[in-house]
Amino acid sequence: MDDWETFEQDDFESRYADELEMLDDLEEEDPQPISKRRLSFCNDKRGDIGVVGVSTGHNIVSVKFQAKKRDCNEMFLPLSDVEESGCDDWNSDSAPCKKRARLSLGENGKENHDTGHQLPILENERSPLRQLQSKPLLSHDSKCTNIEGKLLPRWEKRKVFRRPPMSCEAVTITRMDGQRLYLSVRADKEDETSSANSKGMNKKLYRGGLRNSLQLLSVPFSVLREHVLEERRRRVMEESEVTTSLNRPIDESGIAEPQPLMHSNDIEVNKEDEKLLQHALWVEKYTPRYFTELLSDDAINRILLTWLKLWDETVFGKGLDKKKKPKPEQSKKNNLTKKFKKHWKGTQEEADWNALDVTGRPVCKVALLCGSPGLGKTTLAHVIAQHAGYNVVEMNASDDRSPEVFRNTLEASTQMKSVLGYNEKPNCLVIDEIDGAPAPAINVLLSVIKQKDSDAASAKKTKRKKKASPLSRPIICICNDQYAPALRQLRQVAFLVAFPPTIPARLAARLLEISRQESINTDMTTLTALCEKTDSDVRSCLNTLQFIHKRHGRVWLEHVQTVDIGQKDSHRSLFSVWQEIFQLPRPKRKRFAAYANIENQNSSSCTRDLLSNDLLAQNARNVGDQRRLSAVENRFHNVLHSAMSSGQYEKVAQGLFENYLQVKFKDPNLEVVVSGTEWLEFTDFIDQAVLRRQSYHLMAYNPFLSVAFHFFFATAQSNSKLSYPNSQYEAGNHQKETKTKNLVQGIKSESAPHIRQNLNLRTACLELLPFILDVITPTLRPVNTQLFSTREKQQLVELIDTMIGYNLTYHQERNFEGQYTYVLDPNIEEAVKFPGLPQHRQLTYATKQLISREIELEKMRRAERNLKNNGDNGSCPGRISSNYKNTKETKPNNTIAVFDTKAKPREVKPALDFFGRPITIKSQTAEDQEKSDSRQSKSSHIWFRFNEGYSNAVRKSVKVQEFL
Amino acid sequence: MADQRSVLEDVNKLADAAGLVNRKGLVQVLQFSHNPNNDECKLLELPHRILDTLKVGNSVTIRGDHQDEAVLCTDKETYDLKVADTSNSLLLVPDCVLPKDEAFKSEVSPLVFREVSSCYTTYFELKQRRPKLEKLKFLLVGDLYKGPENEENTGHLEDDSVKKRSLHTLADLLSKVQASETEILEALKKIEALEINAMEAVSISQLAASGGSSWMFSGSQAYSFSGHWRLLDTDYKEKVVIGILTLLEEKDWSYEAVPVRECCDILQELEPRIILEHCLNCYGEVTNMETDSGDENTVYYRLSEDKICRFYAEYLLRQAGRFNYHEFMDSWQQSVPEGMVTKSAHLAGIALTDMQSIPPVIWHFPASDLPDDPVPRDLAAPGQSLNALLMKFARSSTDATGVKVYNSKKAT
Amino acid sequence: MVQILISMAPDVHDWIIVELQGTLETKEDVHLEGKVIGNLHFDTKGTPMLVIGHHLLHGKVVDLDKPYAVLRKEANIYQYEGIRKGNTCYNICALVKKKIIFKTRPKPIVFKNMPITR
Repeated sequence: MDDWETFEQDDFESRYADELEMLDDLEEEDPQPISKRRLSFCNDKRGDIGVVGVSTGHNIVSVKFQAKKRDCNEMFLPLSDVEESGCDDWNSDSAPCKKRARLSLGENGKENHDTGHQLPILENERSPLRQLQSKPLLSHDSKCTNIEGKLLPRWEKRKVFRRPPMSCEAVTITRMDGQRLYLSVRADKEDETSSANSKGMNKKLYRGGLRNSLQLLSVPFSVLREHVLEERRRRVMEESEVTTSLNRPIDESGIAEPQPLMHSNDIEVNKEDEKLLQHALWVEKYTPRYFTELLSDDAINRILLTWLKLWDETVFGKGLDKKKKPKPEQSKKNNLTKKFKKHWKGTQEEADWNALDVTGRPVCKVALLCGSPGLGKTTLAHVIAQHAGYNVVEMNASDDRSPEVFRNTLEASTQMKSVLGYNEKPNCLVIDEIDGAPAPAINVLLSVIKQKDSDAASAKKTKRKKKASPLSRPIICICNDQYAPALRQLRQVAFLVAFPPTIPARLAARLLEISRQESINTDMTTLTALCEKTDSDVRSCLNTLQFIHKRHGRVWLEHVQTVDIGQKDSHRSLFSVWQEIFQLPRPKRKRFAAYANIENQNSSSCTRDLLSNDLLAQNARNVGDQRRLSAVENRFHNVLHSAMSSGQYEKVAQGLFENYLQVKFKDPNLEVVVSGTEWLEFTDFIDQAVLRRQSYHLMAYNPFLSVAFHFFFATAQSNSKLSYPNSQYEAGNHQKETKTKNLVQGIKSESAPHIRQNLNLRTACLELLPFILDVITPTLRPVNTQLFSTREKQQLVELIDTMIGYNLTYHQERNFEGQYTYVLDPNIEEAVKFPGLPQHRQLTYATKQLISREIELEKMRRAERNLKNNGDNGSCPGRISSNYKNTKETKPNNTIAVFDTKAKPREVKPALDFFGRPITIKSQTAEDQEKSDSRQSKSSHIWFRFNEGYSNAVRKSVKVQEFL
Repeated sequence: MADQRSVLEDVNKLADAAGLVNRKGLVQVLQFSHNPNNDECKLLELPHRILDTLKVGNSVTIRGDHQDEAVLCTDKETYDLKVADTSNSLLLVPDCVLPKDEAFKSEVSPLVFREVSSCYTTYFELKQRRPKLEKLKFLLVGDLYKGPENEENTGHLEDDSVKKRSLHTLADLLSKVQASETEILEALKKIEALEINAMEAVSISQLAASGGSSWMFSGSQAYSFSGHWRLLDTDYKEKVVIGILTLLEEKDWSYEAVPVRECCDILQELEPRIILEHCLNCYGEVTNMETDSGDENTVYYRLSEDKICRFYAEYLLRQAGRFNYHEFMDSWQQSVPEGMVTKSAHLAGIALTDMQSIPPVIWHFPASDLPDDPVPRDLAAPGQSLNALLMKFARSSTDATGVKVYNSKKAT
Repeated sequence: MVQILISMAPDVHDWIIVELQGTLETKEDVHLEGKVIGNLHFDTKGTPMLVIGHHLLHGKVVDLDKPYAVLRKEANIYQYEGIRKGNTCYNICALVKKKIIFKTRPKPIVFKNMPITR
């Protein structure tokens, strides 16, 4: 853009140097017309896609395809042929003539401009539709000079002249590079309307205004206002004429289904829209407007719609034919959910979001759409909300960052309703980019959701359900990264809808359709490539398509591949980086065989020298396929790019190390694995060098590990089971090792001497412990031990013996859920839980309890036996023995002893009084007394209950009253 | 009697069974009273001081509104009356005798029945406390004495108007204020209240105008001769004091020897004599200094420099908002009678200064306007040390400069 | 706004309080009037012993630090037009300067015809 401007500028200045001078003089002499109005103009950056009115595009085109040396007048000349009405003026005006009287309110200026922009349309003549469409527009525009915000097409408003426009007021500005530009002056009102659309533009306007130190309006505001009103009236009149004279516009877009047109107003609006569309970004132009047009996954669309419909009862108060509908809807939902379960499985169970709470609102008050950019989330939200009969209020959370603004908007949109205008629908708030919102703002949202929940509960108590219904409007939040920390809490209360990537085929088909409508020369392959390149980002696809189309007039594969746009420089998560490294780009699957060749070469021959691009190219050339070469190159660059963009080389490397063996690559000779480990070693070297000697320049080599791994290990299937690297952590801290060592040491030190002597770490871990686990889990019937058969008893005894031998026991623990479990102590299970081995059978709680107790008893018994044996030596009578005396004398056969102890019925413990004497006397005393003395028996009506302690610490104040 | 013997047998049998070997003397069988409605009795734990008071025939009083927390007052002290709960059972046995008692030895029968009049688990406890005098000022402020001209109604009219006014005799105050009589009188003195009856409430001139002394005796029977306790309106009091001081200047009397009678004789044309005397009492005291006149009967008052200075300070400060400190000190010194020297120490409790501001300022801030809590010295109950009180509600710490600071235990 | 006068006659009785660490209990439906509570014995040393039901309690005689006054309400209250009139006042009818306190755990009484274990 700058190019042509300067180019033309030179030319222009050389030609009109004289006039310029004169004009400058004139301006100096007569600054009067320069007023402090806001100006409307196209600045030099207006070519930016997305900001600008359509004029931009046309400017480019016009300059490119017309002879570049033509000045404005010449450019406009051919138009007069086409354009009959209202052009006389400017034809004569257009000559640079300072004496030309100023015409009222820039009317001419506008026309001048308008016609100028018709050029590309004319050039586009081969599309009959276009022309048909442009005609009414032209005639219309030429007639209406002013300017009512809504209806005015944007491109009418901006003007920059390279020489002083004669037709209207102008303000001179001098650019940084000394170039002078002339801006036509327009009334305020106009610009305000435009300003809403282009903030950036506005800023420049102000700046321009300041620089020129303009004065206030030259025409009084009231007059302007009258003009505007009159113009509006006139315009409406004209338009109604136009519409009646026109046939119904042909539905040329093909995307928008024929709209049911109610009254003429609507028709006008539609027409306007279509005109706008013609010049709009394709992204906007082909934005789906109806539910059926949505490009995103059907299941997602419907689920979201279902959710939104849940609000109907609250919002519209219809109750949705509660009695009739639920069934079919339910079944439909079920079908849906079955069919598309994969898309939202793991987010919420059906019952969760499908239900209504007590106030008749959905349980989840907020829907959270998440997915990578360009999948059509915002579009979906808008379309669905409109479909469900809402008025969409959109806010962008990353723009409105302060919690106050957030709250205001939130409350305004959920509690109020637009009363002005025809759009008297309830609001549906769409919060875009909510992951960009700061935590306080999110908290505001949360509090609105939650706090009002409680309100609802209380409101229900007072039986004023409808009136007090809180948060009565649906909110749809949109984010890219659902795992953003800020959203953590929101995620719990929201109805999560994760967007899967758009299916490339589907996207490509849509692109093809669009291309056909835009008459783009392209093919399916190209479009598929485009989709792939943009990661199925619809917006990016369309923008790229439009861009290429504008530049080349056709869109071929080479364009798509060469053009350097369409790829986002987005930050990618580690997982997606690993994913990309380990996965071959999908579309290449078909041609995999051919690539396998290259890859084999790569994998076998290149290790470190793979880094050289040349080599790659050479390899590819060997294969002799230029295209594939580029594909390999692409892969190389893609992987490199994403590895670099992730930035965390070390983590990436760790992840690769952790996961590469899990990937199902084909490598019968383990060559690739060897190469891979060598690469890892190399990376380690580099890391070491970097960390030890601060040789940070070496870090540049780090990302190539990823590339190498990609070529070594990438497979076609997706590797969903990538795990986060933690072996590094474990190894680094020797944590597990230490733990295991300690554990075995513990067993060793406390086990019986004859076992201890043969126990070392290695044998214990590898040969003993895994099997001992099986040994100590015999099959014991879950019955009372008394009912055990002799064999079972024997088994139990042996088990106890073994466990004591290895100093194993079960001890009670409380797990996270508060349940008690018996856990092996020491917990050898942990130490020998080798991956891949089947899970050991677990004993039941009761069995473990039994074993644990038997172990204790057996230990006591043994201790006592020891004591007895050593009794003569006068060893102190320990607590164990004395306790044990109470149970039973040890018999030679342990088993029986065990069971006898158990079998012994629990005696009724004789009631003892404080001194340990049995208190059986009490009742008998009473009887006795009764017998002996009838009189005394009376006194037994009163008895004494002793208090253990005594307190008179409580003091209460007392009122005077109580003494009256 | 036979019945009693059989009872005795049973009792002895039971005692034997219980292994009571060394029994001696009378057996008292405790039984519940046959007349259980005897529950009008309350147990009150008496501190010895009160017991002594009662023993000499004085009575004590429970005072206050029905909803007030009960306090018990002797004529000098005030006690909190609280209910103490005890986990033990207290059996009140009126006739019970102990081995040391004569009755125990002299009892003929080996067994007697004793009635337990009632069984208590609570008793009342007394604890000396600070008198609850907050109400006193509140009551008196309701009808300030603003000068004789505003008092005309007091005596003349029949009971109605008198009743309407909220005037309080000492008896009224005693029933309303939870404090002992002594404490109330002290407090009244402290807040400079005076007892006026209707006659005294008006000045001589008014008395004359209203028909001399005749009405004094023809007045209604309902009129009580006991005076009402009143507070002087501040403005009025200022007026009176200024009047006295002006007279002092006029007569060139020294403030150290004000002849009371002469002074009152002169001024009673303007103000009731009792008011004049009251004011003199407030701001001075009797002195027995020798005077030239040699008249033994002349009573001289010595005005307190301290009080007069404070009086002037308040007088000045009350009228202004914030005062430039230095200007204030100057004008203050100028306004006090000759010979008196103002000191900033006089300002304690009546003003605040801010020396940081430029210029330094001073403003009226009487400590009596503060809420009740902050002056701990006044709050400590008799016998309770200030420290104990502080430790109950605050914790002390020593800050960096070595000043001991008390912090509230409550996190406010 | 009342003043309740408490006064004491010069010749006031001395009463005794028997204090039990515990409570006397009874069946709910039993009226207590005239019911025997227990027998109070003294031994040669003057130690009080109380037999309640089948419990024996050993106690001691204690001088009270602060005596209790037994207040009896001597109200000359009359109803006048439905309004309580008159003054309440209290008379101290007795002072309690001593109490017999039983604070040890009661011992069960065992009869001869039952063998005593120990």
